[in-house]
Amino acid sequence: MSYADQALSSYERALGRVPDGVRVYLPILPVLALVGVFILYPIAQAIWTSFTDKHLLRPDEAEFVGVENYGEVWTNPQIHEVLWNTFVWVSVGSIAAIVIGFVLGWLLHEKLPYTSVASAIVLVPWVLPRVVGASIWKFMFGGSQGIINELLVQLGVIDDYVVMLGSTELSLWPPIVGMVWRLAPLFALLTLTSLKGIDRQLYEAARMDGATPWEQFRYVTLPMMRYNLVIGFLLMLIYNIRNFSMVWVMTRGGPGVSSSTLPVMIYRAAFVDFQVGFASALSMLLFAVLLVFSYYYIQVYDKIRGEF
Amino acid sequence: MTTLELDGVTKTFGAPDAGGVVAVDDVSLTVDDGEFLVLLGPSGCGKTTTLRMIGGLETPTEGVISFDGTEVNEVKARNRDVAMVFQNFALYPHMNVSQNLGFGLRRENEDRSSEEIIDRIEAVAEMLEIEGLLDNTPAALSGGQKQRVALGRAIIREPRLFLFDEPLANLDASLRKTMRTEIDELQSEVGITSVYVTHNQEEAMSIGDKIAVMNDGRLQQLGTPSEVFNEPSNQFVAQFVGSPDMNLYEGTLTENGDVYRVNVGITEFDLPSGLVQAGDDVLDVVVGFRPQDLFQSRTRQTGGPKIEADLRVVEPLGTEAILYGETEGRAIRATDTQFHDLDEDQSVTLSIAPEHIYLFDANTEELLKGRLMTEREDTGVGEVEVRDGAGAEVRDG
Repeated sequence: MSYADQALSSYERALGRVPDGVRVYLPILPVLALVGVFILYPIAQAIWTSFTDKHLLRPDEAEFVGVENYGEVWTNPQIHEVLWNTFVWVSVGSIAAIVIGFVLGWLLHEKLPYTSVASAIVLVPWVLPRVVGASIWKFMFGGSQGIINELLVQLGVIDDYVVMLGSTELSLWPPIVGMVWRLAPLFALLTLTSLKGIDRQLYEAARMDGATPWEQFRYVTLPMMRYNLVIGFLLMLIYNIRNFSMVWVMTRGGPGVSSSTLPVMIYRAAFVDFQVGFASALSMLLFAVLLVFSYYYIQVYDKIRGEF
Repeated sequence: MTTLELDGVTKTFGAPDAGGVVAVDDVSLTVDDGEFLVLLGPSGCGKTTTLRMIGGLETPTEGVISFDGTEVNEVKARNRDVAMVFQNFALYPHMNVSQNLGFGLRRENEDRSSEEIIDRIEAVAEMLEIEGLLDNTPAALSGGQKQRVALGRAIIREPRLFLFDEPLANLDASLRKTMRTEIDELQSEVGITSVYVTHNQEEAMSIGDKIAVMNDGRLQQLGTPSEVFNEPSNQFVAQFVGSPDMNLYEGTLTENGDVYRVNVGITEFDLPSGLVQAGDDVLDVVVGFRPQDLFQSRTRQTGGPKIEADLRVVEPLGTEAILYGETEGRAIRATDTQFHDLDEDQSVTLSIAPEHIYLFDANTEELLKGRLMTEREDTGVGEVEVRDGAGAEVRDG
């Protein structure tokens, strides 16, 4: 082997002539292209569409209408109910998923035997295809032969079967139950792993320092888990606000818009009413909310990386 | 200010009849007020489990642990007023040094004022020379600094007992020696009864007022460092304490008038019968020579048996060297300061003073004769006797 074999190829020499400032961007070019085509372009397209009156029945005749769609978002008679539903959906769903998930994760860590088997079982709702899970809940909440109605009757909560999915007052709640069922396991697993990550000796040190079990939880467990909990909380918010399948499969957002959340309304506007322009404007609203959540998510994430 | 007493303490993990492990087996000992006891033994000998039972982190299966005569078996760890320093420090990573130090105070006594706590934190920080680190988190500290904070967290509460679980094992060698001295000084200063766990016999010898040697969950011997070194109760203690390892050879002991004749194959010698507590006429024995007690005949007359050995390796350690030799197919280790002119493969004559020879019963492994500290005029005089228990242990294990 001679040094001649080690000489730069013509390709490497050509690369060497590219200015340094440009060359550093060459390696990220492929990723940049993918992100551009599949993420940035669709976003730009959606923003543009939100300023047009694009209709799916005449997609080629879209005209620029300025902020008319955004105006309609505020004047739309359904929007207030949908926003309220979304708020209830996200807050109740997230908090319930967090509380149940935390308790479940803590039980997995402290009390239940066979942790690995138990966590596999707990994960079933999360890994089950969304539509399958939603269909099961729809079936269970069924008004004429649903097991939940039967259960409530047996327990004496209600006297007779109630058509929950068809009631304007109740229709939002069955999908929330389904969503909590789907998200709680994820939070449980997050709780389990963060509990497992805490050095057992810290608890022994705390016991020697005279801490009661509550003080150990309050001053060791919770602070040690704080970032994981915040990350989990933000994840729950993001998953909940984006969710479409649970509602759509169980109630299609109805009756009326009584169980519609923002993603469901967007879908209806675009693919039921064919008003793509208006749907895009609604999407921008969702986009803005998600941006805020994501910003905090990344902030917390960076903070964690800085600390460990 | 507490006298600690263990009476027949046993700890079994799992059901004893179904493959359970007996970690600590019938250990009884007393640690007097202000005394520094070291629990010494190899890994898995039950020393840490014993310590954890004293602290209340484990409950004894049998036996009684008492502080000042009061049984504490049922007292929870948090109510025992005992402080523990852990091997990996176990500092709370989300609290700064000051919060770590103050955690025990804040919990222990709800009505203690925060000014009082801050005063105590500052006093302890000053004592341990960590005043400048009070606002740092543990992640920003070096190993030695973490160790000081862990010590401070124990001292600040002025507990009834200090428990140390191999507190120096995670430090590097030079820091270990400094911290060892500091812990020793600190303990004498505050005068709190302490129990210290280690597998390092050198550490045990240098720091302990008393040493409890454990093996297989059983207490082998409880004594001062020099008792453990000079009068090890059995072969295990003799081998575990002291470095390099003691030379052990099987042989026989025969009564011969007013002396005992000892034959160990590599050499033969007489011992005055007054030195040996042997009942039988002929006995299988194990003879032990400490490497520190073996001298080259050319440099020092010991008046004891001589052993011809072929040198295999000379391992210089600065002022002295460990000589690894072979005699009649048996390995022999000696340490000597006169080694610079020695070549490997050369033969040397080693000898040992009779009073420095250890004798064990080969069947029971119990001690028949220990190492006498009495000075003998006709041996290598004073210098030999400077090599008493603790002195000989300055060498690194």
